[in-house]
Amino acid sequence: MRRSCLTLAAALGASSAAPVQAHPHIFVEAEVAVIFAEDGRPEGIEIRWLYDEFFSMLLVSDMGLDPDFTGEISEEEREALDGFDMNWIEDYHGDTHVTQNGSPVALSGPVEWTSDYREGQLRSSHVRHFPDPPDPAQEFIVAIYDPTYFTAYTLVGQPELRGRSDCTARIFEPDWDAAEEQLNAALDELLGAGEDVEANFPEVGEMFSDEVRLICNAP
Amino acid sequence: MQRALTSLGLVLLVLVAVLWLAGSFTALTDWALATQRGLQNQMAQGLRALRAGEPGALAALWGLCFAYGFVHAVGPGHGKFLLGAYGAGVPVPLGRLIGIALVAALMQGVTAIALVYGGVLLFDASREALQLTGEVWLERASLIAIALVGLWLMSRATRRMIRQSVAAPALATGHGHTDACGECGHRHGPNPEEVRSLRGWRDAALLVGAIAIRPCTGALFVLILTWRMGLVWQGVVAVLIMALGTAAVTVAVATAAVLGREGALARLDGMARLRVIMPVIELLAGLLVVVLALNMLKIS
Repeated sequence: MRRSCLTLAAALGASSAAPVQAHPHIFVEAEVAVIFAEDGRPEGIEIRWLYDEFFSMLLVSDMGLDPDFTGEISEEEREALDGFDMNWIEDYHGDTHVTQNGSPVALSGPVEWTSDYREGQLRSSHVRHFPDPPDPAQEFIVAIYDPTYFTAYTLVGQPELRGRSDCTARIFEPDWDAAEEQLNAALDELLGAGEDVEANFPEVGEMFSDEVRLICNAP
Repeated sequence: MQRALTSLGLVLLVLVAVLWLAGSFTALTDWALATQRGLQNQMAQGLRALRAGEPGALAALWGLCFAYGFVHAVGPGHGKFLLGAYGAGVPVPLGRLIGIALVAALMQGVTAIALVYGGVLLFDASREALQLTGEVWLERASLIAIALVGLWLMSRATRRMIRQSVAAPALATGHGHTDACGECGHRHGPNPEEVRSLRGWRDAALLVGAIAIRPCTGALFVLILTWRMGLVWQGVVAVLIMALGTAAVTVAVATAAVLGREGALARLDGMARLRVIMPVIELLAGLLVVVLALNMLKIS
């Protein structure tokens, strides 16, 4: 279940003494839709996750579903899936990060969730509202990443914009050169620092993420 | 003096290369990530095919596991930097370090098998509990053990330097033999043969132990799924094959480190400075191991 892998992710990442994951073990394809209210302000985001088959198989098997490992489940089993990845523990923040002018934009907890398992892949969707919506006339950024890098997210498809047609959304691929530069700088620092064991290993999750940059026409 | 300096530079270069391997390599990481993503899906399909009894499924799964072990080892990891730093800093023969890398990888697979079957059979442990044990507690134990190996290398090098500076005039006769300290080597004069001498099985056991404590998460996943599928021996063999895939990478790192060091030292053959430089290199290698292990532990 999501909650269990979230417990783990939190134990790995949130606890300050935990090591940063060297490589991810969960691969998720993410889709994003931005929902605008009637007054034109962004109301919330819908996020869809499609899990890789290996981790899906493990989670479904953890839940005691699909005991024959066919990759498909019955309708009753589908009901048992409900909210499988929506019971977020305290230290897990959902891996969706919205910022405007470099400051984080607050998001509600997940609501209106769905879940499914077909052709060996778990999928789910949820909506998160903006308690204090960002100004749509200024660029705001939606990034999907796990800071601990236990899960590797990939943004797929063009972001859907619901309720407004005068906005643009651009997907930014990870900037590998910048990421490499940052890693090298961090490495130099580490070497130069000698015995500075307090130096933080870089949180590669953010550097290697895709992000959507959105901006709408001013009213 | 010039030659000594360039040789020292060469060794440092090797150390940096090892660091590089242990840490960054963006393009390689990128490739490894894309491959891991693909393998992750194929692994599930392979397991499903095996469960369904499709012909050729077992061989296909084992092949996937080798690739999985290999690709996951290309990323940064604790075993590679320890083997690399040790090979670059300590006069260990190539064959021995290759053996250590191979055994360490296989023992890491054995740890995963012991954790899953011990946990499941003795404690009826859940997958989360097993994973938490492996990824948090055993990971920390492994990194602490690696840091201790680094400290041990540093203290050994320091003692050697102190002894040399105290007994420097006597070394002209070629004898500085001490056994009271309980070290594994003979402390003769600095001829190249002596410099390349074996460090005993204690070092090998320390390296294997420190690396093998921490099981690979992918191996845990395969073992848990194959156990639930009733494919116990197929899963156990799959994990050992996965370990061989990992070993292919760690053996390469060990080889590069030893060849780099030997190449550098060959330029110094017969030079008196060798005995001064060797402990310095060993000290640096130990320091590197300690710093990296503590950084991976992310002590704050």
